[in-house]
Amino acid sequence: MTQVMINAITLGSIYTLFALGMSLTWGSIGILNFAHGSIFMFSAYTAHLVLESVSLPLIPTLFVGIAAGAVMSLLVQVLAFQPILRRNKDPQRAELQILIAGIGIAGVPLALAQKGTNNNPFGLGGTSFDIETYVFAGFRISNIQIIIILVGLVLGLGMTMWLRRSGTGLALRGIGVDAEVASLMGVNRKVLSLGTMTFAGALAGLAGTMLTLYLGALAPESGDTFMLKAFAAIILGGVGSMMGAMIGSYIIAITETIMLTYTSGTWVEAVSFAVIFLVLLVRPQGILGRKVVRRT
Amino acid sequence: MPQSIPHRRGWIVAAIAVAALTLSACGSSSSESSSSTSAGAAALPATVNLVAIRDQSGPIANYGKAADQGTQVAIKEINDAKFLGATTLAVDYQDTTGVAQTAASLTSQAVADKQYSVILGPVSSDQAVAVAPIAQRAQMPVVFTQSGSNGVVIGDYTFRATPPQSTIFARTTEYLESQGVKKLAVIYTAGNPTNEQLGTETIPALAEKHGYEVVSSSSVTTSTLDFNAPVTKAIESGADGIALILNGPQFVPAITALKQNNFEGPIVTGSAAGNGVLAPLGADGAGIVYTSDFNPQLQTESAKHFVGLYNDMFSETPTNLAAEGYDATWMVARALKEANSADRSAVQQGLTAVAKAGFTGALGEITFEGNDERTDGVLTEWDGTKEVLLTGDATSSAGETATTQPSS
Repeated sequence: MTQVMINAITLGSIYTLFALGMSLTWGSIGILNFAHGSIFMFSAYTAHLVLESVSLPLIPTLFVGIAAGAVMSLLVQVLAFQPILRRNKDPQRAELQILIAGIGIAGVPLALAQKGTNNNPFGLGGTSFDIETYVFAGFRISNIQIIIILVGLVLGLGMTMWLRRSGTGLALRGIGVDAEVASLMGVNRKVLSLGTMTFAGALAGLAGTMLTLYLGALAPESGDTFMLKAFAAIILGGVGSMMGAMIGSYIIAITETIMLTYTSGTWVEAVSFAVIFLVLLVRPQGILGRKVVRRT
Repeated sequence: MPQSIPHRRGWIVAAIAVAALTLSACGSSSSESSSSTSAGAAALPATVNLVAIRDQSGPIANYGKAADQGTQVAIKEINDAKFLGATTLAVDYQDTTGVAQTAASLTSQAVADKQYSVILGPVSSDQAVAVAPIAQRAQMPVVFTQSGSNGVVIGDYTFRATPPQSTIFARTTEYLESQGVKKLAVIYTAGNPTNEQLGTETIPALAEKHGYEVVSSSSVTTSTLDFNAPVTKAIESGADGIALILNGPQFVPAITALKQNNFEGPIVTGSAAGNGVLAPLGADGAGIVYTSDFNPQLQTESAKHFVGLYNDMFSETPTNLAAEGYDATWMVARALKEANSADRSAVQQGLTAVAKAGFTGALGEITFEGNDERTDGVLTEWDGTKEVLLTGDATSSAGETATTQPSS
């Protein structure tokens, strides 16, 4: 059972890394970015391309992924989402258009990666980072698992604290509650939106690169798989709550891992989503979501 | 064996199929062209039109494109050699985009369009099972490649020019036996009909026959990428060999998880692990063995002939998917010659006659069980840098003719 929990916590940390960026933009600046999965995948693909030319150790490899994700997400905000927000006075209409735009944008990096890889999986074989497995009392854990678990926990908890305690975090939460009032209070929504999208993209890049190292390879379509899981984790944990996204991610990962280990994999999705459904029956706003406030 | 595309709305396929059959039943004759004008005339028209309905985009575009390229090689060879006399073959290549509904829709259109005599069917099982009933009910001959699941060869108008994995996987079993494996763990993707059949029926049956035990069997979903849970289960079961029956993108994560968990026994897979899928593993994947129906290193005359033609046309080495596309197209050409007509029912009879007689193709000596192809299969090993044919399969097969395809 300990080995199962080690596996589950690793998977939960991966889901957390992916979900944090999505949760941050959705819960604060109101952008449900359906291109997040593509940014996640293409950041790893960018690192793959760089590593084909030059061998890099772990930190620079991660930095390439982070930078690629940040730049892509920033471009998406500047070139697509901001113009949509500027032209639409009706927030609901703007949200819908952003959602559709995200789906459309997601197809571009996907098509590029499919073309570049001939639809085959790609890895980060050019990194000089070696994965080693340690055995403690019969349980196995690798160095990349330890890193993923630590980074997932530190970022999840750190972002929760940052949103609660820092001025920028409070400003972001303010936008999430009421963007108009937040603007009247002196919050620069445009700048914060750019910063939030850039940070979310960086998180996607970090997650994509770390996951590729851990799994050995990603396929161009892998981003879609994680989009669904992250979406479920955010809804389960409560939209706008970083801690909620984290808890949601671990619940889904633990449920999936136990199901995969002890039953047929056929039931994984059904049981995982049944758990989410049951939780939402009791708490429609999610585990840590708030009833009154629309976001955050 | 390509990955299965998720098809969440089977009812849409059914609705499209019904609509299409209705359309085809009411189809006008205005689109009749060279093929149809010869119907019943017992003579081939100047051009016989085929339609290839395969993936040119989407997750398994590489499968569809490879099969299309194999077809292109065959078409050029057939036309250049005037195999059908004054008649030339033409192929309209259409893209299923990896979606079963699109494949069904394109099939319906092809059925309604009288210019087409034969369909070269999709390479994915989930698309093929949507296409087969439409073609069968409309009495349109269709020759599939790959698409190894049940529900594809469902009647006298449906043919499969790829041996199902279940018929060639015994090669892998023999390899496991030679490696002294006594306890086998199986990890397979549920939701992919071919993989499910291999994981739940074929491998347990082979295990019983070859005297080893399946000690663990885990299914995963098509979206599973973290394999630590099933790998832990497999290792804790005491398995000394593992069979991975997965979709293409799942192999590297699964094998990485096995290596990270210090598993050192033999790992075998199906043909979905071929065509460069294992390349990201590099040296970590050395020793992985998979079964397939073709390897470009085969030294048989027929294989060398095809590899040479393919290399001339595309300046690259062909995959098994291309070889299957090539053989499927030659099968159609033989059927047309046999039928001496482009009429669909006559071509169906021609295909049946060709299947009954068998032929020599890129895959070697090809026979059929009914309308379903059978070959011996080959074993390929990833050596850490490239795919190599295992010793014993690189020699010419006995009795093989020097010329791959018959001349006109």
